[in-house]
Amino acid sequence: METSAANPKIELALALALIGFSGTIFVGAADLPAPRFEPLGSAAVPRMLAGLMAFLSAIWVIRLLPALRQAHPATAAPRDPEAPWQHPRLAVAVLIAVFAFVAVMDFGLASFKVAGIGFVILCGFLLTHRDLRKLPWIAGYAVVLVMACDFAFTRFFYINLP
Amino acid sequence: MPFFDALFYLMTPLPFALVFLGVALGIVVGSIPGLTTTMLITLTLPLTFFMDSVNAIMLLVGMYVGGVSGSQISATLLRMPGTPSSIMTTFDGYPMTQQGRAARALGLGITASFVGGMISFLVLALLAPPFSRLAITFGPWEYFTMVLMALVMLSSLSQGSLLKGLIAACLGMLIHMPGIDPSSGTPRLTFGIDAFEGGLSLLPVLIGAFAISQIIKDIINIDMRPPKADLAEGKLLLSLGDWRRHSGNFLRSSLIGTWIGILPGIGSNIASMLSYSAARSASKEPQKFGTGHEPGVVAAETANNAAVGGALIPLITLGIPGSVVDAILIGALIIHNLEPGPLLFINAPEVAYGVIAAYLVGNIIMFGIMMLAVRHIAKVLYVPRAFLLTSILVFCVIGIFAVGNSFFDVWVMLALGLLGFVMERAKMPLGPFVIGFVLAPIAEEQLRSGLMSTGGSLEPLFTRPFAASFLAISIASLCWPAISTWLRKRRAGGEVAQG
Repeated sequence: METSAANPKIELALALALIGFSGTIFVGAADLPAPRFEPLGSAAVPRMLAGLMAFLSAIWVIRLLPALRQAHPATAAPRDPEAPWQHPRLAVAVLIAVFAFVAVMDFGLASFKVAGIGFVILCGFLLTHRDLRKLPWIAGYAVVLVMACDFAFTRFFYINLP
Repeated sequence: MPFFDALFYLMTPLPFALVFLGVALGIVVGSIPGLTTTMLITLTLPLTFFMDSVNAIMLLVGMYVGGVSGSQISATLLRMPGTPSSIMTTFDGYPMTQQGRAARALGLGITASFVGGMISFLVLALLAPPFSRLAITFGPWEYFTMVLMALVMLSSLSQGSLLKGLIAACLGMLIHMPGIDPSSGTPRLTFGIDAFEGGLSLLPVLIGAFAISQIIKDIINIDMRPPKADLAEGKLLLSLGDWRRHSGNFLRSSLIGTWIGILPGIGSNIASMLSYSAARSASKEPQKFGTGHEPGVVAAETANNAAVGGALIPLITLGIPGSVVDAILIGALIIHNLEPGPLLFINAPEVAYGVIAAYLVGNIIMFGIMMLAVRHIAKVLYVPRAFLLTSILVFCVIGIFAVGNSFFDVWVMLALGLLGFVMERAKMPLGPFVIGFVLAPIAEEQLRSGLMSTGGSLEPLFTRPFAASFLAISIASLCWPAISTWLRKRRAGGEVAQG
């Protein structure tokens, strides 16, 4: 049996999501027209792939069950003082900033120049662990980066940025 | 001779500058742990829209060569491989650094990369044209089974778990399904959303799956600081005695690397593992491997570079990717309205031979840059991550927006980035996912046209020799993990009984 170092709960969630996705594909394929001038038609390949993926994901779930049963509540292992900290919350914060950056431009609330400078400053500030001393450097870098990108895309590649 | 035409063209200022730039960027990005060649090439793809197709492909091949070679810098100095292809280099390269022989390890690695690249270039230049002539005789059944073989081999060999690899390949193929059905011309799986009618574009999927998911990982580990390594002491160039001592290893590892590269879907990390094992088996001092033994560095670095040239053979002759980067190069050909496959040599010989010429010149440039500047390039390892990751995020967003002038693609990229991150957390390989996405239209089109030609019969799968062989290899690849586990258990049981 294959062993895995991944968190079984994440694996289970993904496997179930994939089974759900396969179901969605089956529902979508049900509306497709029957084949007219060829044996397969447009629904056959998605159905085959969705069926195969659901079947394989079900096997994955079955294989995960023993690992899930054995999983005890997490006991805090002593942390290696030399090891660097991990920052999952920081990743979430930066992702929210990226989504906000794209949404602001998509909904026409700000241009690339304004949204870009704001995003780079916010993102740089977060990634330097909110160190205020580095903020002027980040702001300067944000202006240079965004203006350079805007110049390159509009003047060199002839693309209008939002 | 079209090859020499391509070579002469490459020697003109603009193409040469592009290959030089590609190799240099590849080395720098490949050397930074967390940034990968795949990420560099996917981020560059939108910019190549505005370039001539030959120049664009030459630039990307240069990046490919540079990236595989550059990753040895961090593998040797920090025990952090820039790309998975350099994992084996850490085994002996890093102990050599700890022993104060960092420059020697890098010199060996650079020379090995160059030799591997040159031998693999010879195989590429000699085999690619006849391979493409043979491939022209292939019909839909051969193509369908070949895609099947590539996906199964990649799933079974890329990262260990066959089950997860197969699921990833199915998911990648399914994600390609929404859009206009290629045969009937009717919308398929669009769920009433107009934006889905054009299907999901290649670039948002690639950049999302590789670049965004990698950035999320890098942010989580942003406090990882690489230790400083001393590169001031020692010579990089090898002596004649060194060349003599390592010549057998160079040749063996180059051939292993090239062969593994030719096989669809395996890639340079497996090539360096096999070559390292072969070098250890052939050595009179196998116990020294892993302790800073020079042949270990030579075997790993020769093979991973040779695999690049090998993987280019199925790419330009069959349109089948040997690795994830090759899948992206196929995407680049498609973006430039070129049909990957055997007809590339007939319809666009300047591109097919341009790839071969760029590989040769890229290797020579890589050797020059690395020998002259590796001590300076190594300083890139310490660039502040906050600035680097923020800049990459901005490039991802505007690069994808610029390609289609659409925010739908940007949202797709972000969604695929989250999916890629979750897949990696669940130890599901991204390679089969992306290659499944790239190969899905080929597989479907060939299967449907094959079935149309036979009136729905699957008989040619078993009666046409190449199709039957590819199918047999696919089935063998599916069964091999179970058989090898059974054999291992049986052997272990036998040893216990004897003991």
